[in-house]
Amino acid sequence: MVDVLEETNKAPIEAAGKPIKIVAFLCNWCSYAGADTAGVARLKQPYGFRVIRIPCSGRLNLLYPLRAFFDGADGVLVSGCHPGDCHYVEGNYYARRRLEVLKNFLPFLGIEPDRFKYTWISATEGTKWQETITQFTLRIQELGPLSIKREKVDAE
Amino acid sequence: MQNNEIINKAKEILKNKIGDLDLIVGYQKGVNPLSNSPLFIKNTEDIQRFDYGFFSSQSLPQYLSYYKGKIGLVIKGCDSRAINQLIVEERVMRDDLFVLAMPCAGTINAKKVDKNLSGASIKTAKVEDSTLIVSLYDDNIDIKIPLGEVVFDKCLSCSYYEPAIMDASVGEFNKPPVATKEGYFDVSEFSSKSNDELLDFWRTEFSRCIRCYACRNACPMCYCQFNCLANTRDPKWLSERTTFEENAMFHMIRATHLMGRCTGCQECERVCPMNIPISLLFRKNNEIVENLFGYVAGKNADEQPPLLTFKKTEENIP
Amino acid sequence: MGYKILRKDNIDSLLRELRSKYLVYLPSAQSGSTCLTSNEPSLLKATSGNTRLSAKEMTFPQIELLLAYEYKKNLEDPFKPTSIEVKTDLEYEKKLIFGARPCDVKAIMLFDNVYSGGEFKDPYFNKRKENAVFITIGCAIPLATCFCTSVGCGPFDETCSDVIMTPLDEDNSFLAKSLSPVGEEILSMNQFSTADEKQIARSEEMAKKAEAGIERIDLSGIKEKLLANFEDPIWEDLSSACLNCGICTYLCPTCHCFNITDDRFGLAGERIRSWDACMFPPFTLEASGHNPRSTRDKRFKNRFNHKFSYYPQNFNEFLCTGCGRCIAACPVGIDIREVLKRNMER
Repeated sequence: MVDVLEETNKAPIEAAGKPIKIVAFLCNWCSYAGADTAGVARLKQPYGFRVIRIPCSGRLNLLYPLRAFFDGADGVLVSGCHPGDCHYVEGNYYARRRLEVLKNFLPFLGIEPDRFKYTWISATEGTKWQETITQFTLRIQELGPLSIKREKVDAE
Repeated sequence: MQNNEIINKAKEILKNKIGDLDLIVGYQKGVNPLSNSPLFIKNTEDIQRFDYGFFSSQSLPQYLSYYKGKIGLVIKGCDSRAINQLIVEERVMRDDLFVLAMPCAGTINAKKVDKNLSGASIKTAKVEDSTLIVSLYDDNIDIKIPLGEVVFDKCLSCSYYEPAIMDASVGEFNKPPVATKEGYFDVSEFSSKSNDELLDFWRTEFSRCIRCYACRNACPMCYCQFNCLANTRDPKWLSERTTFEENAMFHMIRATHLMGRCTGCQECERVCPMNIPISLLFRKNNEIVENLFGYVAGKNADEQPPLLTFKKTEENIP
Repeated sequence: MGYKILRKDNIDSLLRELRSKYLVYLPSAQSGSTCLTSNEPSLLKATSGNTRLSAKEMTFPQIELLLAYEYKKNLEDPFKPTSIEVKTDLEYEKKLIFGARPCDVKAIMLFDNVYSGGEFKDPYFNKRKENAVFITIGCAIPLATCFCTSVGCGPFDETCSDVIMTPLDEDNSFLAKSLSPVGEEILSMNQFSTADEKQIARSEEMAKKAEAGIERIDLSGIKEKLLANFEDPIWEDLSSACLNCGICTYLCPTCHCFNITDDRFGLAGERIRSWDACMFPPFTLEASGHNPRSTRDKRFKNRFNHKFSYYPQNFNEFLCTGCGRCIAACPVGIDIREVLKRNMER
């Protein structure tokens, strides 16, 4: 896996000639800190993902990942504290229900199930973050760009 | 019981109740012989126009958003769950309602008939022996169509023919003869398509949407009406552009806000002027919520909606 | 202005030739609903009925880009300020609309009164109108929802068309009449042949029969009647079923209200004009939060007053061509003819 990361670290990850866009919604207290831990430990991570920090996974409105997809994201990753360890006690319990429903709903629109993933990553799990984002990016690269994109089409 | 008997019995019940209520919402003959219009009854004279039958396709609980006070509603099985869900969400008080439950063997989807007749104008319509009989303006010939071909899809898998809430009822509640299919048959058929086919399908359908907001306004659970996220300016979720992405986002707003709340009346699909099969999205979410949490919106007036609560260990979520 | 015959089997060849000069629009069924589109398959062979969406989109599209801007960063010299590129040109393709109905096309004249008559002329509508040619097909068989003859239109009305065609089913052809220089040019194409007196007579007979077949409502004095009924409680009754959606407005060929909104996408942005409907509550919502038409009956009343009282006061025409789309598509069965009749009886 380190070899793959050696390659990917040189240039933006591409699929079918276009740079991949992945949006990662990370909860502030656990997952964002976990990604930060990965960075501090100089763990190699792929290009191609952009992090949006939210205070808690429970804050995630299901429209955020949907808007991301319809605005041109090829993959969306959501991560929060482990259930039972939420900084706000119960936020991630609500999130878990919502995210599971969304995960089952997206394939109905034609968005491959592997394009949306939710995980629980704590602040110390830097390596878990590295593994998750790398595997996810590789999978998205395999799947290719999602053919929904924002076209600013002028009226005829 | 014959249809006339049903109508007369209903009129009797309504006549006795009109004194206690501010308003009763029922059905009357509409401009299209295939669709009844709503009837707003304020006095015994209005009751004369009451009609009911295979053409009473509209779902009336949507009017609970517009009227306050003591209200009577004439409902079929599929409409009843919306009332329960509104009670759960504290939008109406049970004591303010009088629900008259009517028996139903399926309602006619005027769009299916229109397609069958290639848009010809209909003069008269009636249902006899599980057959829809229509006469056209240009001919004096009767055209017969089997009922199963022209009822709504929801009627083909009807399982809520016995209303979930009622104060009075007329007739018996039996499973409609046209209900030969299982639960979420339309969703399952649809889900078996490939990813590309699905994406193309929704791209074609959502590109045709004209953002008239009829689906939202007709939905009994969309009581935000024009305070909807679709119309807010700060933050602005949607552009007015009617591209595939913006239209799809509008329907995503409705799909996510109706998760675990949609009561399956399919009004959204009935009212769409562009014939977009929009209720597939909400039915899919209903199926997901039922599989994950065993919850069906509106079955009881006292259940906790699943997305407003949680369990520390979920049975169906890893 | 001459008459010509177009055989139905010449239509494909005619369209091929027209496509070299114009973007041709035909009525077609796009997976479930009908509208005018430049794609196939076409419904030209349909004898009656109109498309769900009217021809309004040809000259007044649902989305009109008014201006677009983009901040362009100066990559050579980051210390020079970024430039802004603004786009406002009006470049429209020449369109030919083949197969709209007279009720759709007369609406252009009604738009004209508002968008071109008077001190300020709308450049977008006018440019599109200049670039549009209408070959209209008259209605031999009206629908049950048609009432064009009651509002000053008719199944063979010629207003704003360049060519009007009457279907002659026994001859498997159309009788075409040119109504403008462009129409004359089109009729000189070789897919058209000469018409004989009998065919012209038959088409006139058909027009009379079609007109007689449409039920007439007496609307004399409706202008004043509606004003007299302004405070009448009848409006609460008539509007009780209305859902405040935009179906009647968006499908109507004559409804012309719009909204102007701005959007920003990072460094770029745009200002667009889009259709708006007086049936929506926010239509009259003011910045203070006050809404003069806050209830359904007020909005409902406004729609009919605008079409049958205010507009006729200004322009001596009803803002309606009787196409009946609002009747066919209203999800709760509100019938404009019924509303008018009840007001006439008051």
